[in-house]
Amino acid sequence: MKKRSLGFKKAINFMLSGKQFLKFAIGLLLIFSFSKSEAQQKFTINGNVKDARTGEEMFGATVSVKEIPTIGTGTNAYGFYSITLPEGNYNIIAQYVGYEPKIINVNLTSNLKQDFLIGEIVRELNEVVISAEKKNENVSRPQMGIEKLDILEIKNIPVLFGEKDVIKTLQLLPGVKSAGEGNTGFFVRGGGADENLILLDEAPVYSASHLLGFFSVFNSDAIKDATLFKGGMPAEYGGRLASVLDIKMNDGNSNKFGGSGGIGLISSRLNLEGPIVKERGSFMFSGRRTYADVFLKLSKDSSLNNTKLYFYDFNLKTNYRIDSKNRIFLSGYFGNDVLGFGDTFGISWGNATGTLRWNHLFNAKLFSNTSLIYSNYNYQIDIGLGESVLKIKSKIRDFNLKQDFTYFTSNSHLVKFGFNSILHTISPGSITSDNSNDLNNTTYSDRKSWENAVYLSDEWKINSKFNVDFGLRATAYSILKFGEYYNYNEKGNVTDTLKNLGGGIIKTYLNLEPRLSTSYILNETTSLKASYARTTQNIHQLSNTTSGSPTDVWIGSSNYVKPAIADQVSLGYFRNLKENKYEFSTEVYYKLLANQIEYKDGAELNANENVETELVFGKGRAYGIEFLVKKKTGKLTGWVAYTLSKTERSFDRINRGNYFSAKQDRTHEISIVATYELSRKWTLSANWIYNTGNAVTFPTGKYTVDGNVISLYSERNQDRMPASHRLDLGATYLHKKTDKWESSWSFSLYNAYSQQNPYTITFRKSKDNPEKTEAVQTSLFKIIPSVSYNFKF
Amino acid sequence: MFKLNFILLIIASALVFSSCEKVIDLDLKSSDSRIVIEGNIADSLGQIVVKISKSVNYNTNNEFPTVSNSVVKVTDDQGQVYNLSETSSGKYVSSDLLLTNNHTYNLSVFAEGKTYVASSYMPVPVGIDSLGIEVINGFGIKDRKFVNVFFTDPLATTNYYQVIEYVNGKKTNDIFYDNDEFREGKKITFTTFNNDDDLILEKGDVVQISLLSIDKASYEYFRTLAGIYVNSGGGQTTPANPTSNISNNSLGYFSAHSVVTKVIIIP
Repeated sequence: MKKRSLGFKKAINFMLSGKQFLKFAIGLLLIFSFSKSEAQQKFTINGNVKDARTGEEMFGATVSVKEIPTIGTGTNAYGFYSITLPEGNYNIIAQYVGYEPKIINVNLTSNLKQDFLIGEIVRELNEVVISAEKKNENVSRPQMGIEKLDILEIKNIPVLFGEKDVIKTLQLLPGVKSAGEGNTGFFVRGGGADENLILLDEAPVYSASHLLGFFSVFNSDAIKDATLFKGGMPAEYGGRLASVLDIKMNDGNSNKFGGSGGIGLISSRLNLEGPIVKERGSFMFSGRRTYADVFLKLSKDSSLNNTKLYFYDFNLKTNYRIDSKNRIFLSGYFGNDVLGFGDTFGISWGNATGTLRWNHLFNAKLFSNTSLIYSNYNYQIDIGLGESVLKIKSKIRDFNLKQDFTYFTSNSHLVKFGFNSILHTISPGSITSDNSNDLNNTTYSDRKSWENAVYLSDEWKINSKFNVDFGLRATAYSILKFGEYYNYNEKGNVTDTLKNLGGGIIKTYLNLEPRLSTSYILNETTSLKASYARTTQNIHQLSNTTSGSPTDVWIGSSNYVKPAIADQVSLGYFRNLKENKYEFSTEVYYKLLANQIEYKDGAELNANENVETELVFGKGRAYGIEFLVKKKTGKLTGWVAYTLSKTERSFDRINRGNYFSAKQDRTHEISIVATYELSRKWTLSANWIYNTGNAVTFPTGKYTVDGNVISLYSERNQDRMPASHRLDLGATYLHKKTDKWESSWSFSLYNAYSQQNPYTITFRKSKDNPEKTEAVQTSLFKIIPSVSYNFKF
Repeated sequence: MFKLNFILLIIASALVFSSCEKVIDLDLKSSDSRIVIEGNIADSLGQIVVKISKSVNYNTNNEFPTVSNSVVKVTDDQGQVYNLSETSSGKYVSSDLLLTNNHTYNLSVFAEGKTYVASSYMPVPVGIDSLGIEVINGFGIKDRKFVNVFFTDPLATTNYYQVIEYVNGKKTNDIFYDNDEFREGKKITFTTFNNDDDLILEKGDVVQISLLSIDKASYEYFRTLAGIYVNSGGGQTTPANPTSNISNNSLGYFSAHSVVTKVIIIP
């Protein structure tokens, strides 16, 4: 009883301190607003920056004042900006990378609403293209460790089976490593694959891959942009240690009806969009399905026509502008994978997400967004047992309320604050059969937890050289009394079981996460940046494979499993060369990790109600240096990225507590990405990658048991897979381009020189000489050509 | 459980239509030679067999040194002592015994100056109801046959099983294990999904199935052994030595089990 009330008290205290926090926040805002008040009358100009053709809001566009070059702001996630200026006549400029800048002259005598419609740059042959991004944006903004991908950028990059993929393109950037060849899982700066918060229109996506990892769930037709934060995470994001991948869906063309699509080797896509009410509301619908199974069904061979193997996904988004101050958005994703053969075996898994958002403008300076978010991931396995079917089901589900405010306090302060409240339900699983003679139907009780967070941040332009973005995020993770609950001792044995708990809180973990990013501009083309961020994570994935599996188990923090904590400092040097034609940046980082999870030797992770007992806890460290040279303009564009890094873990029970290389520790990683516009019709592209092999455990000896030869293992991860390298080539032929119809052919060669890169290395008795054992390297893909046809109308 | 991993493995390998294998040379680290004890007590055979050998470095031949002149002794929980004598190098046997199930047996081995102990409970045997055939089609596998073992789990006890398959008199290499989780007291179907592509069952093959009732520690040993035997590490998973029930850091196991056997001719 005593323990219970303590838990409550803590939670209440926290909620109160949360209130205190908000009070503090509001106080701070008031100080900022008043401290800047001067005798001269000031007015605010605000509005949205939009794509002239589609009406899509542009996130991250810059709005600046020609007469006062030090004043400028960026649009928020909904394309909204606000600038406050003394009375007067100004030329306001809105710009965005790849778009023509737009200048509007305003006479500011009262508060004013002004939208900007900017159009894509139309490229003519041989014309020197001028970038329209505020040229030294990468140098001047305080954020570092951030990678933003516009969907246009990934269009020409060659990928496996010709399926363009946001995540596979991100893996070509420094500090981001692929979980395996052709795999969409990724590791950021030494973090695990489950330490990435992947958001699709704010909804977390728990399993971002299709078809055992070869494709991501993000249909590139439906996506507007993707931003990856590797370090110095802004305070509005939280919940995962290593990174945030924030993916936004297209809002849909609000000017006219249109569509696009493609027919590829693996899948076909169709995307439709258009206005609901012109200039007030629009919709976007996108669907994709693979069709290998359709061809397999036509086969007469029972080894093929019995096979089920496909995935599909749908994206839907609509928005409606109620009036100039209120706008609502509804977006959703649904996708599913199905694998199986005949009635013997089947597995299906998929995500469903939904987001309902309400943008509200309180006044010219205060922008609010309220979101109700749903996210669900589940899998089901069907096993045919003669007459009956056995089903195994598991899921993780979130309900999430999120409130964000953007306060354009003054031109030198951009304040963001808000809160987030998530109810997590993890259903570890049920196993049932329609025939009670086969099975005792078993359902493990749901685990529920409530995750709350409040945050406040301020992007402060101290002077023309020095920018600071500082913030604080406070999180409270409460384990709710629900169903069955276990207590464990230090050795991980169950000490007691509590059943039918009546609700309330068992335990709350409180964490404060300070965030800081600063930039110091040395001159027009050079800046230094530094950042620090603490991140925490309460939802953990247990996986015993490098590339992950759809049946990997998720667990929440508990009495026994503590929240994981990461502290990261990074320093960066940013320099633009040759009139901003080339961007050079280098960042060093050092990260300390606490409460890292690893499983014991021989752990049973699946269908184990006390999976906590299979875990050990330890610490980690990761450090490295990243270099990136990017050419953004001209006929030849692309980048060269190099990462030198080290990632280590330490657990008392593994390797005698010594630090050892984590599996994703790859010392060297190089990627070269190039796109060349040969002519108006042809665009050529290539990328080449090289990386050191993963740290792995190979046998150090062998012995015999029951006549079988068994490998003997010593230290964990003391060996290395051989290094991998690969060249991919691509070509795009613009077949036809008119105002009404555009079509193109894409050709690609994956692994053009057919390098046999190691996917696994296994050990077995030699086939030629049973007196010997041998190491066998399996490579996934040799050269793979593909072709796809894409259209747009 | 349910050989899920095996099925996922088939799917993954079928997906990878262009995958290829090659034998490579690897510079592997060496390790000190460690003692390996394989101790078996089977009720039906009336025999206790303990084999003692040592591990070797990976790149050497599959010749495993035997350990002779050890003192091997088994006692049971009724005070009976069985002294084993070395019948061939490293093989210690005691025969013509009347061994009863539902008793615990304790092993003690004194070898190369060290003492190793283990204990194992011999459960009450569980009979095989019948044997059948499972035919698998899909993912490039055509009409491949596997043996289904049907048996009824006894209610009120937690049971652990090992299945040993002999094809035309030769023991297959796979390690088959199961328990009665979710199926306490139910009819259980166990399919001997064989991972060995050289071992495809044909019409007329004689398959003998032994259903071993084993204790929890032996089950844990064979479960973790199977985990490294099928996948052999490989860089996708992190392998570890199986959980042995023998003391003093010995490799291997000590298993007292009761055995039931049945034969099927592949139709």
